[in-house]
Amino acid sequence: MSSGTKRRGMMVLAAGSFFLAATVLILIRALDGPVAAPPTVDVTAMSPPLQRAMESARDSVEQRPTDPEAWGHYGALLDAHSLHEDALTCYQAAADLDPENFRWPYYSAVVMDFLGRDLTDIEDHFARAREIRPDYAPFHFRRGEALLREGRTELAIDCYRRAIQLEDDFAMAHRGLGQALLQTGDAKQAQAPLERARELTPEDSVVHGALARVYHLQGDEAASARAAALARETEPLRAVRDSVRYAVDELSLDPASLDRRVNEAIDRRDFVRALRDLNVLEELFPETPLYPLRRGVCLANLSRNDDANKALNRALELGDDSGRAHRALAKLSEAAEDWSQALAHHQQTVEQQPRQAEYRSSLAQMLAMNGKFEQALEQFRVCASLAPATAEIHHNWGTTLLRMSRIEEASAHFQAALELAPNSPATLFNLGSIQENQGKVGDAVELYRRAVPLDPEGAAAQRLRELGVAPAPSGR
Amino acid sequence: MLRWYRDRDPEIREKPLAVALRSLRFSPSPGTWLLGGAFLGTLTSCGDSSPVAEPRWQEFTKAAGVNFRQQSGGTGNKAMPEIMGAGVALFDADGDEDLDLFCPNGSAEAGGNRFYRQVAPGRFEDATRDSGLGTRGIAMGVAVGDMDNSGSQDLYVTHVGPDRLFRNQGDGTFLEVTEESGISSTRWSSSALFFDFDRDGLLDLFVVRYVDFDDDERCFDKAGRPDYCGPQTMPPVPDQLFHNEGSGKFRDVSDESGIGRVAAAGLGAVAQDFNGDGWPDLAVANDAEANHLWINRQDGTFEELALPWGFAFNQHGHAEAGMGIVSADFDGDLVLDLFLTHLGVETNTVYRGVDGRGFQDVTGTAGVAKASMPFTGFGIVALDADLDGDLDVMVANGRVFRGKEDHPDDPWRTYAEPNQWFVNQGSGRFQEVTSASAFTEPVEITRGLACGDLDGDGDLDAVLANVEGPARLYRNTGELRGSWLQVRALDPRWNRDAIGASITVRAESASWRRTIDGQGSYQSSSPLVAHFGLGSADTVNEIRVLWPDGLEESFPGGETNRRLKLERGSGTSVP
Repeated sequence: MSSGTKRRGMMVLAAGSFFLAATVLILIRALDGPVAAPPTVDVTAMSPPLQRAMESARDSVEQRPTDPEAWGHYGALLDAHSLHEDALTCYQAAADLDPENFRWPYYSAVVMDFLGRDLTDIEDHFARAREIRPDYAPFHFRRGEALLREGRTELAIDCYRRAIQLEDDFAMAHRGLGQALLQTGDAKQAQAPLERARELTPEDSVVHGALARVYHLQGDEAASARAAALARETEPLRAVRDSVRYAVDELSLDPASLDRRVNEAIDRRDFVRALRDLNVLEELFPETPLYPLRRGVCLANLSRNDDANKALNRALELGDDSGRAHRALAKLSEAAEDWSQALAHHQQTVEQQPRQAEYRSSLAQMLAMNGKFEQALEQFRVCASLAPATAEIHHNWGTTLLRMSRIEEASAHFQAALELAPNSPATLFNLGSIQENQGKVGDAVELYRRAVPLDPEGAAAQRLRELGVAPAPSGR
Repeated sequence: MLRWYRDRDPEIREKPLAVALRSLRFSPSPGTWLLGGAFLGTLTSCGDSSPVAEPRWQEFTKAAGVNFRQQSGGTGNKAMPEIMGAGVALFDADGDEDLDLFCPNGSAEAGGNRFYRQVAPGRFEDATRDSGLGTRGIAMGVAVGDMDNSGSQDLYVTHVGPDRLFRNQGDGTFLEVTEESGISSTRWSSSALFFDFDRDGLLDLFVVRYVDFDDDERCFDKAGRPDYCGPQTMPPVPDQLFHNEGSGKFRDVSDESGIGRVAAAGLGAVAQDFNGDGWPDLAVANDAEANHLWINRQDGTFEELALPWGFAFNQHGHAEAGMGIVSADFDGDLVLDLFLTHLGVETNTVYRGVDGRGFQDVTGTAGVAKASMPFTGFGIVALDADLDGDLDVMVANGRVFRGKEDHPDDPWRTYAEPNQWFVNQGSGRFQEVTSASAFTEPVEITRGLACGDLDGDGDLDAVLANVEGPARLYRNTGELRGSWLQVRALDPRWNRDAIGASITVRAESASWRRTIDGQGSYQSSSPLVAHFGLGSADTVNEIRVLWPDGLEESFPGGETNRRLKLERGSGTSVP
């Protein structure tokens, strides 16, 4: 063999090896996951936080194209912002990479249903999701809704029944079952599940509306009219109790969703979560004082008082005149035992909202704390004219008078407070103290004993222990 | 004030491939109306199927001489009325028995409304200047009816701002008589209709109203982009009912009738006798709120019964964004059904009339759920386009919230969608026909839609109105599978069309029910003629008319492919 032939042979071999290696690499890549690029969306008109979120999610997919979570997260972000077609592409890619994960076919089915895709295609995804997780009640409910809309009423009924079997207190499933039975024309059958839904969610107007129809069809016009009236007075329950799908909603950065989530987080005192969304809202609406105000309140609740101070002052710079920023700042000053600063903020709160009795009551207390008793009493008088039936005002008024040693007047206000709120342990204790000081120990003990069940570890219980008296009369 | 809302619209459908328009054909001569129950001979014949199927709808706007282009008044501020668009009316303004065209315009600053007179079959001339109808304002909808029983049709035009009433002077010219009529509707009115709710022979007026519009309200979509507000961002306002007192005077009876006591963002309405007691009721499509069904209590008051009657919400119990509405017998059971158009991601919804017991949402089995969800529907008309004996449906679409794509060079494009054409497969099940046609091909923001026999060939044609776009006229050129009848019902006591009359045509193998109303769709008005496609029937046995005052008369049948004028009192009374 000549050297030229040998060289040619080597070259052919090298080229063949290179070709083989390249082919193997492509095959590995193809087997490993989708080679398609993630969807590109036009972010130019989006808000900056959403732009960043979109770009970051897309970058993650590009950097980790075989990571189903990266695809799924990008899909969910797109889904949460109504970019459903692109979301679907991502969910499909995630499902290809991670075929055993329930979320991807489930999310795909939900999005396809939302887009009004062909029921057969939706059912394919529902079927795959069901194979993976057959016992997830919201899945069966959502499938029922999709089937009902397309007129597949009998199958929808089976789905609602399955959801109820898995979660008996799933109100929307009972509601769906009733509505589907109503579609079959069987008002009598529909009545029971709808009444069960009403029992579970009495504030759901949808249930009352369906019952109005059920009773009408059965000739009970009086019951129908009552149900119709309730439907008009209540609101529709729309949010499905679906923890899996909730993860998508959590990603939404539109102002309405952010606002809703902030409210929900504050309601459950999850201030860290609330802060996350408040930061975004503040970026979206940098001139709106509401968001730094709410951020300040959350920070205060997390005892991050310096940050809270800054946020609340920012709200004031932006023109907050609700009284709430000053009030929150007053409370921070109180926590720092800076009474004069607290007083100044309470005064500004009342200047901003002079007809808010609650704000004025706080001012009155702070005036008393600062030894300005007569001014405090004047504020309590205004408070009582603004909100005469408020026990708290009478209690605080009485406490101030007690500090001024105006015992009889204090006693009268505590009595007034107790008439309005008989179960206030603080008022019972204060009134008991007056009785005790006046030598009416028996009356005092009776008042302390009324307070103990309301606050077993409170001042009244402690006083009874000091007096060596049992918290309850013997024989009880 | 800043507001936001959910953008629930999915992206727009891909635009179908364009097709070249075929040459236009007109029938040689329009039919004339025959008085009485006797048939006097064939005037036109188009009952046979064409050997070659042509596209159902061919546009002839330019050939017709119509060049109206709606101006929304848009300034870039995304003021809500811009995107809600205007309706359109087809009616015989000058009594020459062909259809004329009225196009409300939506800009207070730019050109006013336009009126076109039909001068030859399918040929129109702009007659705005002398018509008295070319007023300016943010005009939305139009109702047609002979309010003074003069024999000529008057117009009521709704606005964002004061509405206007125009009296027809008998020759197709109009005089504004709003002030002297006593009608005052000064907020945002959408649809309106004439009907005789107390059966005193004078047409009363129902005005659907939308929201208490606040021009300072600003809204954003989910991505934080400025967009049009939804109805929930502004307080709804109650509808109005005006009683015709005679001598051109109306009295506001909204409160005493009960109608004015409930506020909702209304957009579409029809008046029909839904409970079969001989008195006209009202069905109102409300936007994102429960629909209203006002049942006439025969004493000048109405009771709202949409909830027990199953019309307030869809089958899932959800309020939908009601835009357009049409009432007709889609499934051939001679009971009136309702078909409503809605926002994208919602279905358009079909409510089947269950005789005397209300309605049942049959959207799924009607086959329109999936097809309608991607689009935001507005105008809707029911017509038997192929004359096969069942009612087909045209739907005008166009978003109210921006789509996925922005188009800086054409900011309206993000709202544009194609229209849809649904063919009834019989028994009320529809099939969307997606093959290219001039009606479904343009991707625009369509709102108003009306149908009528524009070219006098016996089948029904259509006209639509776009936001910031042209009015378009469509001629029905598709395959015809049957014969037809057109019936006008006239009450000589009142010298006018019997609005609310129910016409039932009986043939050997089938019966059909239509009503004389011209109402519905979205802010639009169609001719006061009952049009019947009769399938293979070449004769009919009987025509029954249930007059608005409760009298039922029978008229003799006969050959098909005719126009008839049936006069009250000339038939045989049915006990």
